[in-house]
Amino acid sequence: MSETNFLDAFNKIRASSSYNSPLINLIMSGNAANNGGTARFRALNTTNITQGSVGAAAVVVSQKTCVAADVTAGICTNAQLNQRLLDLNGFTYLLQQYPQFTGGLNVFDSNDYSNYNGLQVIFKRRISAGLGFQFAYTLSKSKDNRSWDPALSGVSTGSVQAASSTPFDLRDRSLNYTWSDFDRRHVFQGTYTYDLPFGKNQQFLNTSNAVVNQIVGGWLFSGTIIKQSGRPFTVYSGVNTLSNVVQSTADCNNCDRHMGSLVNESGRNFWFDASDRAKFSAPVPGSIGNTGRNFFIAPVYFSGMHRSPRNGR
Amino acid sequence: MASDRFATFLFGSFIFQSTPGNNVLVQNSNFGASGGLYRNVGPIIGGLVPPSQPSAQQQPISFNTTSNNVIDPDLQFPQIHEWSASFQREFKRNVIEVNYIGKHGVHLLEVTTLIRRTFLPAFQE
Repeated sequence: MSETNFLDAFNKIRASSSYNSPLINLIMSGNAANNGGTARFRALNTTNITQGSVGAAAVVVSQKTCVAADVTAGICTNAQLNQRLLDLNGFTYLLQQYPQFTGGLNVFDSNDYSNYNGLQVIFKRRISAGLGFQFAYTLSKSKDNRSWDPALSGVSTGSVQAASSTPFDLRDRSLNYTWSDFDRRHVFQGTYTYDLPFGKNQQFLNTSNAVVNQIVGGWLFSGTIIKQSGRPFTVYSGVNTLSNVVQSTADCNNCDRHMGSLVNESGRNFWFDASDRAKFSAPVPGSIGNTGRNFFIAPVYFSGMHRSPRNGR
Repeated sequence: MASDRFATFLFGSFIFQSTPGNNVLVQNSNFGASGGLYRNVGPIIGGLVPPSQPSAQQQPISFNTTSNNVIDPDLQFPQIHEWSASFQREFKRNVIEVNYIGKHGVHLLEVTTLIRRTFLPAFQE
């Protein structure tokens, strides 16, 4: 059995619990025939192998230093304790370009891009006969590969929503290019004010009686309304199948981005019901998942505020 | 909206300044503590020597467990292009307005991390 690369070796180790990888043997012990290398790889990456987290396994191997258990397993010697295995075996830069910066190497560059198109229709009425309003509808589409302000210490990683703005692949920023975090497709906004036509000098109950006027006069209706599409969000797979920086996004079988509605199951609120949730799975090692960043859309947002104050006329 | 989401001055005033090698702190806390007078401070300031030289930054440090910040030498200024068309019409007390806005941003600033780097499938045995 030949192996083409680290991913291939990982997949073969994952597929068979008795498989010994010449490649893993070589990079762990310096000798392709030393099966102690594969054995230690399995011991160090039990969970990663089960889950298919090849990105996490790559970092475990890259950062691995020789410890007593490795000496026992025969992949390094007492004289090599605390030295990095990949350095010892001549594979220093195999899995990480800058393996010496174990705490992170944050790079500030200018490779992001974005596009926005919006169409607005606004209808307003100046106050006349006590009535004034403005209603606006905006149809827009915003796409980008990052939706928030970067700062050098602010690399978002793992499975938080902001992490989907961090490159999935450093060499291909288009993997992150999709609907913005704030891409609300339809937005309707309105404000209105209306003086009720009762009391002195008004259409109804026009009286000089101060008592009646105090009760019925001077009322107005006013308010604001916002109704807009929900924000997009990312569903992660829970596994580092692509890199160890950001989790890959989930695979979803025959799903469209409008899937989901609020459901209550035994007192807990879910956006995806049980049958929807069953459609999700983790992508295979080395792939990103078929849903991608910001694939799904959160609930519609509605805010209405109405007031009926008296303007003291 | 699709625009330069980033206060450019923040880059110049803080981020760039805080990258390795751009600033070195030199101080003397003995002079004041032992009763030194302000009028005598000139030679003290003149005698301060930076603890490291810019040349020391030419070679990356060999090992570090805390995070390091660097700036892409090919960094470009963000560019935003915006185009719009508006139509407005008034009749009696009513106004109707139709606007189109398009925006395109390139070279927007981003930060990423090279450590725990993207998995490399191209590796050959």
